[in-house]
Amino acid sequence: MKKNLLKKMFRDLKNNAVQFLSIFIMCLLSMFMLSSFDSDRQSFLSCTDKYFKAVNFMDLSLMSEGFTQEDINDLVRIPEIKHAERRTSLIGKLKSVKDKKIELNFIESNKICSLYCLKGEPYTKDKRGLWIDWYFAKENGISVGDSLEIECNGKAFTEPVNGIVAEPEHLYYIIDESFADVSYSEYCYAFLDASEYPFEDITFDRVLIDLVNVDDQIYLSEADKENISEAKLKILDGISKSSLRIVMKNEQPGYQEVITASNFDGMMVALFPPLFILLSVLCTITTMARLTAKQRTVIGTLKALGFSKATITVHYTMYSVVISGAGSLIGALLGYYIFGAWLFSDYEELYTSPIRQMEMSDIVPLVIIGIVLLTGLFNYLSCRKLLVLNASEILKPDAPKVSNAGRIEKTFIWKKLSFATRWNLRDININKGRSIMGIAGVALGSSLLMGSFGIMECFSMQEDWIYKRLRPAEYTMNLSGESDYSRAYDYARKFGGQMVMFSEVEISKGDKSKMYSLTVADEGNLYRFQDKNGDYAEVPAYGALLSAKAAKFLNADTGDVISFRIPTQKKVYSINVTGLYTSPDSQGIVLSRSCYEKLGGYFEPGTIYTNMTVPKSYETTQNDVSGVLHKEEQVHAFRKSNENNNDMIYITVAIAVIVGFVTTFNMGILSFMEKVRDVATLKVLGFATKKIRWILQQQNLFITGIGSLAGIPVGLVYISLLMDKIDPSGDFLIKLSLKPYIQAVFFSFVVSVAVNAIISRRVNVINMVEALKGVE
Amino acid sequence: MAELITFENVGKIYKTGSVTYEALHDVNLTIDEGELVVILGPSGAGKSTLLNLLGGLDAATSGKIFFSTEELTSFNDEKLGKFRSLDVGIIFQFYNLVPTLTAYENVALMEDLGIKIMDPLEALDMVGLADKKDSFPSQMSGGQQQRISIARAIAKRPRLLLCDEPTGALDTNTGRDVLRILQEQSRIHKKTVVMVTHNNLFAEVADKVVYVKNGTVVDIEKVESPKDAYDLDW
Repeated sequence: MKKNLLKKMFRDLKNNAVQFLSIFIMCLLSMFMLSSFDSDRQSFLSCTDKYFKAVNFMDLSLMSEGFTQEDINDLVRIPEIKHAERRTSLIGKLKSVKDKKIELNFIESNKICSLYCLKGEPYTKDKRGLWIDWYFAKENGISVGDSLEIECNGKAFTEPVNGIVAEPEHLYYIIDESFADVSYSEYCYAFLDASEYPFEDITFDRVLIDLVNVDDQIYLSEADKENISEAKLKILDGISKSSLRIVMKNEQPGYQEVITASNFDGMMVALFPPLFILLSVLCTITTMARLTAKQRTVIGTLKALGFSKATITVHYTMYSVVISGAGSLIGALLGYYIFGAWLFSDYEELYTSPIRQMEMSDIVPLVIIGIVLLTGLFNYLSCRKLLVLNASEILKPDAPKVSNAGRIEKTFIWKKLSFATRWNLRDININKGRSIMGIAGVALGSSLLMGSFGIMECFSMQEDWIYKRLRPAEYTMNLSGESDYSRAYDYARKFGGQMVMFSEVEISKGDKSKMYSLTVADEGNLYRFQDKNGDYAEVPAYGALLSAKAAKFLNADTGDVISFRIPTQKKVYSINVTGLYTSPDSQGIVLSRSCYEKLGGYFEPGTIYTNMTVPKSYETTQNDVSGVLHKEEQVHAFRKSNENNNDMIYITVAIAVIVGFVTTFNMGILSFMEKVRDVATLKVLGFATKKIRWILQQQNLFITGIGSLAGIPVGLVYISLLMDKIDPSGDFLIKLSLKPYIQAVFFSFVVSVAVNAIISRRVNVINMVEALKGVE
Repeated sequence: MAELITFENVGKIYKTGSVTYEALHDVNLTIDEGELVVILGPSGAGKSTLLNLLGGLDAATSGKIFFSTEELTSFNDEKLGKFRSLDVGIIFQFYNLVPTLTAYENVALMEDLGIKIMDPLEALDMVGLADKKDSFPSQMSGGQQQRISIARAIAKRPRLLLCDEPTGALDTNTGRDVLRILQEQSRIHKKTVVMVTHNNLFAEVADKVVYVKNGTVVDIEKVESPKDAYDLDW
């Protein structure tokens, strides 16, 4: 770039610092948001993908009461299967670490979901000792070579630590129902060779499968998904085992958790930053159009002096390129290193992956390039519009626009309007572009506020919805596999509780089928459901409630017949859908116990909900109780699991307010600058400053009113989009009060009125002579 | 002296919507190299249009304009730009300096055209404002700004200097200074200087006076003994 033109550019930027600073801030904040959410999402997915690739994460896992070597031989004869290996696990206590719980996994080989060795020696078949979870080892000071005293089902034994490892099946896990949330320093997993099994006969209840033609991990292609489904069908055909349950790679809990978390980021990336970016681009275009118009004489002079159109265009295009480029780049870096890194710290807390490396996706640099190109293009166009004229024409001042308010001037109303209203209507009409930009700016700001405040309300209502309306029980008692119906019944009677059975279920309608959850509720009012309108949905005596999201996927509705099968059973049930329900934590079908039993199902309650106090000690004293959770613990876990999302929402709201303020401020200044001549004229004619400021404020209020109301529907679309996609296994209650509407409109007005009040103070100091000269 | 500029039956019509306005018609004129030519005429006579066509700032609707041996009227926008950058120095009534550049930088701006210019300080010295090199236009008087504008125009050593009412916004003494500088450019530096004005007095300093009225040249007068700018009874 030319040296002196470059100096001119930087001085012009300095002289219009407020406008360019606002563009800079807008671009910075937009990219800050995008980069934060995107880097968090990208890092989540990429770290998990790298980890899964490094350890050859399973493509399928099979569960049954027991798998023999014959079963493995049958499995590997299926051409799609590359490898299959058996596993089983026991829960014990680590006597040497405060009796903390340990999940002992016994393996025969280490080719699928292999141990990612961080310290010590890798797994060797038939070797004595164990390989322990690295996270727990770090938190509890366990090193390679230590001897750990373990007690499992009444048997005590000691094992040396051979290695500190990570294992992908345990990427995200809760050892049992006595914990409401992950707490990796309080429990652990370890791996031992099958020969170390502490009891007589080992029964392998799990088989991990590696398929021939599936290499992708987190980024599964449609072809991969089809190959996995095909292999699953072949296994079901080829292996005759009772109670066989097959879980696909993308249905594994750790896998799903990562996908769900990244989906939230993905939604944030898709919803908010585009709006911010749109506002930034809008601001840049408006500012640059104004600057080019203001520099008409300079542009004409440059052309007259012999500067080529290309040189002048490049010179003016550089303004937006430099400012939007610098703002976007700095925003992207700050987002990545500050907020993105902070969000990603959750990955370290919630997941046991040893690979923790932040990454930025290609989206961020592409969007920066997009912003720069787009603003540059509009700059180029507004410059080009002038430069097609001859130098002599550019040097002449722009012809004044015809001052007329349109058809309204011909109506009787016109004469009844005050001078201020007429002046404003004419000003709006002859500066349509500016007015539309003003309305668009306020509307986008208002939609951001509506979306943000609405989402915040949905989040805050979710806790009440779950723990006050749907799950009001004070205690949740989870029963272990050792419990049976009679024990559950005894507990339910003793504590006056409601028994509920949960199971995985494959629901089908026509050619569509998917794994969901089955809930069978006994009589009681402690486990409730709600329909789409927010009213309680009664569990029918005969018939099923189907969750709204499942209904959408299956293309089913009330009155339709659906079929379902519990994976460990061969029997397929058919049932009529009597209603749709929404649930914060599961999707699937709900049956009453009586209905389930009439269909021929066996009621096996796994959870009892009660308002009576259940001693926490049951977790240790009662073998058939796996966990006792008080509502407070659940609420605490709920809050903790939502901390990350809440943080994102709060930051988004804060940035939305700043972006809204900056947009309104910038638009206000530009608008005022265009009116300076008119304002000076009014002042010369003797209008009092106060009166002029009120005229300006009236127009501002009019534009803000239209803009803020226009933004509300856009904000509502944002809320429904985000809330619908945020969690595939749960619903959010979208029943907004008036509060977010009022907040959105109120804040739009506050910002707008305040900005106008600040800007219109310039009326006090306006230089009438200079303004009326109209010279640069 | 050789002919530098020739107008042959030149006309210029402006169109605004359905309204047409004939600013110039049938203009025939020659200007020799090194001459100081004053174009005189009342407001709206077509003086500035004539100057704009001369400098390639505007295009003629009819007729031909030659600069030395080249036909300006056949030039496209790019060629006209090059012509302005190499051969023409323009001095505007309202100076048209870039407000965000200092006096020195306004002159040095011509370097950004990619042409070899004289040292900006030398140009400033020629107009007596070397000491104002670091001042911005807003920190200088009208006369000083106009002199910077002249320095900017002469820095690239053009063959033709075009001045549109160069003293129009200046007081008498300052106007005389500016006029003297322009006269020197013609007399000493052998530049062709064409000046548009409505002030009849300036005819006395010119080598040739072109009278324009109602869009056409009504008379051309050769001045035998041009006065010095400082001898004008202004």
